[in-house]
Amino acid sequence: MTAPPKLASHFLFILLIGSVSTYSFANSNEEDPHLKLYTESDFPSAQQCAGCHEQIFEEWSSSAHAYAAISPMFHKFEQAINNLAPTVDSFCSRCHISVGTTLGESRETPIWERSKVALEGITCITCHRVNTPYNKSNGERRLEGGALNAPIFGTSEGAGLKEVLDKKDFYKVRTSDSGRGQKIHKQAIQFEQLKQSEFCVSCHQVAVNQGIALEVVWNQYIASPAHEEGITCQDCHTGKVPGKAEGYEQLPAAIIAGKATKPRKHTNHAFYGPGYSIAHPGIFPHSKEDPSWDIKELLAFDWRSDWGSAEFEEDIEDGRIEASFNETWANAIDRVEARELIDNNLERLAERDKMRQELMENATQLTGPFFNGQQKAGKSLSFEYVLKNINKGHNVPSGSLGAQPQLWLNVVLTGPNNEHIWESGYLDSNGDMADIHSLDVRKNKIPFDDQLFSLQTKFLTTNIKGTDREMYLPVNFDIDQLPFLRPSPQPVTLMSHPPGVRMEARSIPPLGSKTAKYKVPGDLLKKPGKYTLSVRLRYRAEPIYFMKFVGATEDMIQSMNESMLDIHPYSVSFTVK
Amino acid sequence: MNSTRKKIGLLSCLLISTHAVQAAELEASDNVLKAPYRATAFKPDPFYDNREYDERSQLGIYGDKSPVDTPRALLELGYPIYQKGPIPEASYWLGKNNPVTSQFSVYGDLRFSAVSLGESDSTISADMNLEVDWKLTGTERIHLSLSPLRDEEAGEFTRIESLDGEEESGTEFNLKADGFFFEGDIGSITGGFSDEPHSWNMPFAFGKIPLEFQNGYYLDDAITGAAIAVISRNSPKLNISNYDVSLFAGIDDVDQAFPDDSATIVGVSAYLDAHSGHWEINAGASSSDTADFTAIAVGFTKRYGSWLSNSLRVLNSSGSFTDAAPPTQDDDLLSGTLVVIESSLITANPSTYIPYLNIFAADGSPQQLAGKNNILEKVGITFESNPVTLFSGIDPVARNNAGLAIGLEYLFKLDQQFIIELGYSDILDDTNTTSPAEINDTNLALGLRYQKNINTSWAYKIDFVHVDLGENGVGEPEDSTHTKFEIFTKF
Repeated sequence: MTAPPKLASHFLFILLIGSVSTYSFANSNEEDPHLKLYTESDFPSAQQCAGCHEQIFEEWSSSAHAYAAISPMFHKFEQAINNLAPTVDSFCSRCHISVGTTLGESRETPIWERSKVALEGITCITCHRVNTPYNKSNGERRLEGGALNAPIFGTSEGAGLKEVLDKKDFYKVRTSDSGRGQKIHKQAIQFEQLKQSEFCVSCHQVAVNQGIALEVVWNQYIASPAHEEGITCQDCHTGKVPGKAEGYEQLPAAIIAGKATKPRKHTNHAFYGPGYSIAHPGIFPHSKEDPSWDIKELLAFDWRSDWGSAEFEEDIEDGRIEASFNETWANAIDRVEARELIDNNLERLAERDKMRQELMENATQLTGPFFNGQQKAGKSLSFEYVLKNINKGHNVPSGSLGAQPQLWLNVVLTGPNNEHIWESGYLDSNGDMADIHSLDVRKNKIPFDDQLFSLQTKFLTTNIKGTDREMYLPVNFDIDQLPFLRPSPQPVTLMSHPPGVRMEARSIPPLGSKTAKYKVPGDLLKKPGKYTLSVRLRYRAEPIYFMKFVGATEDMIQSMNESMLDIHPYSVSFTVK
Repeated sequence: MNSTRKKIGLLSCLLISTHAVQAAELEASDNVLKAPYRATAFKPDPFYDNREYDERSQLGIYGDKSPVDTPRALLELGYPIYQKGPIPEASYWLGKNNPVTSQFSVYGDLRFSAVSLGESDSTISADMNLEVDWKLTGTERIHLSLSPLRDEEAGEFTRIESLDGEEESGTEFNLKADGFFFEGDIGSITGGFSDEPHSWNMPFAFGKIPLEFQNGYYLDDAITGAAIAVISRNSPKLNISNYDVSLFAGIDDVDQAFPDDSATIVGVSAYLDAHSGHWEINAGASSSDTADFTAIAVGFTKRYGSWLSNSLRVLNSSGSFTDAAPPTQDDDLLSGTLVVIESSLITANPSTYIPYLNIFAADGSPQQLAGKNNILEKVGITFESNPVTLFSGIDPVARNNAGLAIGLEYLFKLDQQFIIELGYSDILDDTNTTSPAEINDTNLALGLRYQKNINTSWAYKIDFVHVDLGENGVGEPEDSTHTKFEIFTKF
């Protein structure tokens, strides 16, 4: 060991470095002045696009893309993870609020203070103003600025647009900033990647620094039969049939001043997926025209009540019932109009429910029960169901695994008198499966479901020493409680996972199957007779324990539970001798 | 319920009737009959009735978000990490399908420690880990790791030490790389230079690569060499949801338990998500002027029932010293088997209240394929040692010994930590010729740790360990008590 003359000065030097480290070289949240700063007018909103592309708007308006910036779980989770791992900053917002983040809006900005286009999440220009063929960029994509009449990027060279531009008077359009007619793009530029699966990878294969994957569907896809066969993401998620590569409809891309352009391959912008909205239906799906109330006013509307329904308002008017209203909704006419908006939105969401149901039905096949041994009173009953992933493109479940989507089997045995005998896959009082995360199981209120068949992917973190445990977040807090998500000192892509954190998949690979095995104790089958087994495959976008962890509201939890999917539900009967 | 919600109810009925049709086509045992679907047979889902509308909480979803004091890296060039604002235009020098958006950052941590080593011995030290990262694309980057205030290899540290009544102090300024590698993806790079995007993954790295396999039991070292991996595959036939396989080779900077810097290694690691848990399997060989050995390891991790998280790891090495080795080296010092059973209880607060028990048994001298021979540091905090601060507990060498660490970790609200642990290690067989004299027969230690965040950049940590040594055959046993106070910042 060397002995320098002035040790104290060296320590002062070190302290100086430490002090510097606490000061932001990037001066905290200031934008880089070298980057071009955009204004809101550089990014047209979907509402503007709807002027000509109404059907596409309508398809998109209730989609998961449209929901990205409105999603209550996004906002709750984003705040929670920033509180716990403060270097996350705008990582989540970069995808969810693509335009707002590009515009420099801070991650914590309330949605009512954001630009309108920011609220549209993954909006039209999030894809159609990208001309960089990104690979795995973890959501970091450059959006090209430009007003509505600036060139747009599409899957083709824009023959339809060219025709419209050639017949400006017929279609009553203009490409200039002023003048008469509908303002449209000057040019459509073909961006080849837009029709390839590779276009999806930048947002659907996402890892936070240190390699913690939140979205893995792209990696699953390129290991799939669909990829080998040349079936693209778009074929199954924007085609004619949800989840199936059965071609596309032929429809006009635009209807301008009542005149349709020539039919062409129509990619359905509903972007079929199993997710669903738990937002207030006053603010989602997006509307083509602005409602008469602002977001805060709409959020104050008690949408679960009968406010604004004809029957309710008549009862109020006639004094048959009494109700109190907040200041915003004291006027009955306002309530009636808002009810109309909300009912309309609920119907649109119900249409989407049909699509997601169809998607999951098309993606999976459930068979069984297959008995092992005889069915005799007093003897244990062994049987199994087989769940097959019949989609060729990726594991089931997949998608945004950061949200920890749940897919599980719920099986119930009822006896000769329809009495409940045995069940697996049941829920606790909060709606959680009775696994290790159930609050009721932890409080011994209900039994642990030891035969639960669940395909939920789990995040694991390594204990301070020893084994891995299931964790709500893919972040390790055991080494210290300042988890900085910076680029890893190790090449984590070669180590399957970063040290201390990993994802454990239970999903079914494409065209694979898993068998759910059950055994009902003999003492529960007390008498001979006709028994019934009922089964349903259930899907939910987020676990309730995770929602509680991030501070979800009771209304969010209620909506999450009320919109679960029941897939392939059926019953069979059999005789116990 | 309003009229629209009733309509949704009708829709659900419609869907169920569709299912009934599907049920007619079901595959099942021959002795079952289709029956009308009975949705009411299941236990009910949570029921919500007359819950008062909470306007405040609705507004809070979007309005109660708050800014976080985001710590920035020491230096950021190019576009900053996870900042708002536009993404800069890409350049294409890695090919037209692999756009480069450069991001250069320097970050790390800085630590100051004061340690009492019992009686009048103590150290005051400083340590820094500096990471320099140049991200080119989402898959390609160059990374450099430095520890500018220490040179562990040379035994030079930045500290003031007072040992046996003698004071010594020194500072170290070291720019030798702890790690310096390029990490990329062959699929992305070849795709970048071709006309069509190349849709396949094959991550690789070369340089001085820090690697960790089997949570560090198998390999925990920065080796100079290369590694390549096949990732995110699956097997429907074998019911494997996901597997990754990595191949690696080291030609320099391979640490071994014996003093020989000529070692080279080659190995493979596989990770499989199967059997409701995950497997990690490692195999490799080491060759040097003085010794050749092979090492294999298998680990399986799973949660059992509602109460136990568990990993079972087995590491085996087998080899021999060459004629070039000193005659004192015994082949038995290269061969052996380590079994580690790591368990923690799943409690009512499974994320933050973690009782754990880690048991190990080493038959012979099991060797990591590469590492610093402190393999038992993975077992418990009472087995940890730190060359900078000289804070140390039970000898972490796995050699013909067995023991355990039983402890309790509590993480409060994920903002502070308390750990209490009892560590124990004992020689398995005194007559075994491989038992080195320096390993004490019986080691019993009590360890405590408390750490707490001060803000989003600074935290402090207090460690205490008392080791009660048994007889070691070379002199009188000496108990030791070490206490450390550390304050650190990340940047």
